[in-house]
Amino acid sequence: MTATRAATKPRAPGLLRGSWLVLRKDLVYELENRETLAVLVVFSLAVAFVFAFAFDLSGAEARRFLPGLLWMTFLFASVLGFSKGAALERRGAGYLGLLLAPIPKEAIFLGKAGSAFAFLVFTQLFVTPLFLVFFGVKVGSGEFGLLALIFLLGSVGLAAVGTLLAQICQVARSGDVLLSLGYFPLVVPVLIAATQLSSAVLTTQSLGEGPWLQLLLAFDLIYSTAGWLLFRYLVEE
Amino acid sequence: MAYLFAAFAVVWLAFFAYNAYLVRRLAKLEREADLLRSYLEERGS
Amino acid sequence: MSTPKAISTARAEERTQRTRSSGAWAIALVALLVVTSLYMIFLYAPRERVMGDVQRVFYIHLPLAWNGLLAFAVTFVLSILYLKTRRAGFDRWAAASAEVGLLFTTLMLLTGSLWARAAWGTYWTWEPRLTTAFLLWLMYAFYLLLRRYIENKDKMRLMAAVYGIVAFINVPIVFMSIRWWRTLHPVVLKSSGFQMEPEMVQTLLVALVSFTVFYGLLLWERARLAQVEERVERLRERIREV
Repeated sequence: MTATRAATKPRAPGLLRGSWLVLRKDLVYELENRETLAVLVVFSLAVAFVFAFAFDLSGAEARRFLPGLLWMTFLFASVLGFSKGAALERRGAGYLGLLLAPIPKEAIFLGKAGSAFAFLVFTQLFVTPLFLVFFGVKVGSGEFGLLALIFLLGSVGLAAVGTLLAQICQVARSGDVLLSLGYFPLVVPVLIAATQLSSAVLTTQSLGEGPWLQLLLAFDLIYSTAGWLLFRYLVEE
Repeated sequence: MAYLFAAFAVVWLAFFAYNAYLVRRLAKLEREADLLRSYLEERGS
Repeated sequence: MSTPKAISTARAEERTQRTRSSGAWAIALVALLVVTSLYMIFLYAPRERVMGDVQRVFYIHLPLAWNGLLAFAVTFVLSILYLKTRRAGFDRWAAASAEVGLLFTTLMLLTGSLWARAAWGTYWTWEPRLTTAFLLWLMYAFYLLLRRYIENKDKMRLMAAVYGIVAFINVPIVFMSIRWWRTLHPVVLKSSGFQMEPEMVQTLLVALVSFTVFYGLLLWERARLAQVEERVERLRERIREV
């Protein structure tokens, strides 16, 4: 009797499958509407313009300032992405659906952080070549590989912090404004480590001497764990 | 020496201002609580 | 003869007496600590040879910094306790501690800036400790803002508790990263580095104890205020129902 009931009852998805479902939901929605991607693309273009006028960079100077400009753009774009994502869920009552879904709460965190990570990587793929061309900086393939590693590691930390904070801010009045206020102080270590590493790559073609790669890894690890442990308090109902 | 004086003045002024703010707000709220409570008691009895 | 007015006055008198007796003790204690620490700071501690009298700012600067950090650590611990037990008291004290900590950090930044101006000729330097304090200020200002912007009280407590934890985890990471960042750059100014004489150490300890007591008193007062606030809110709701 129990055996047949267990067999007919659909099995609730586990952690990995649940995360994948949440992630896929965001990506499918995005592929159909391209709302966030459009925002990110237009924003990056606008920022490139502003920087070009504000700094008027070329040659060695451009090489020196490029990491800072890139990471500033990534940070601002990621805030936009996070508030866009939260707004979408609010509008479509998506959170209710997510909370009612029979998946572990940790899966919601992983899935959401995963889609934030995907948007960040997309922004980086779009912005980096654009800035290299606009500011006339040439990089070899070895440098490109190192930069990609730094960008990926940085994105993990940003996605973890941003997902957590966006969830905190989405219950608040004017949550988008709050999100941008709370986000920057928290991600300062990522900003420092990633710009230092990127500078080292652009000037010496190596990751440099400092403990920055370890710092970036530690940040990723600490905030992924924090999100993993704390997220369920944020989605209680 | 002027900086030393300024530093001490700032700290003590801020402490006293914050303390005064807390005390005044507390007094105001307790008065309100008493008023509301006596109003409720009157209504209840 | 139990008009609302009479009840109210009688209560107020009773309470005033209670507060007065405990308040008198607190005032006596604070007066004693203020006088002792001022005496030690200005007369007992010797004049520092290199920096001169300005170095005496140090005796309030360091206790302010230490207590600011202590206050945020208290918020961190109470936030965890709140998440575990869901008792509103923990959240109230966590918020009170964050507010007092923000006051201490603000004063620490101000005194540090004045000291820097006198000792190094600049109001601000991106020195690791100063920069970390600045970020602490930003994070806990955000913590207090967040609490005001969430209407649902239970949600607010949960969100604030999670942020209280996340923010404090960031402190050591921020400090280490800024320190590495600075040491890899040319260091223009050495932050501290004067010889501490025994009298200086004693003065510092007395100041440290005094400021910790001030922190405790302000924390207690702030938490009590929050408690009364909640009580008034509940009374208002009951009256609305009547």
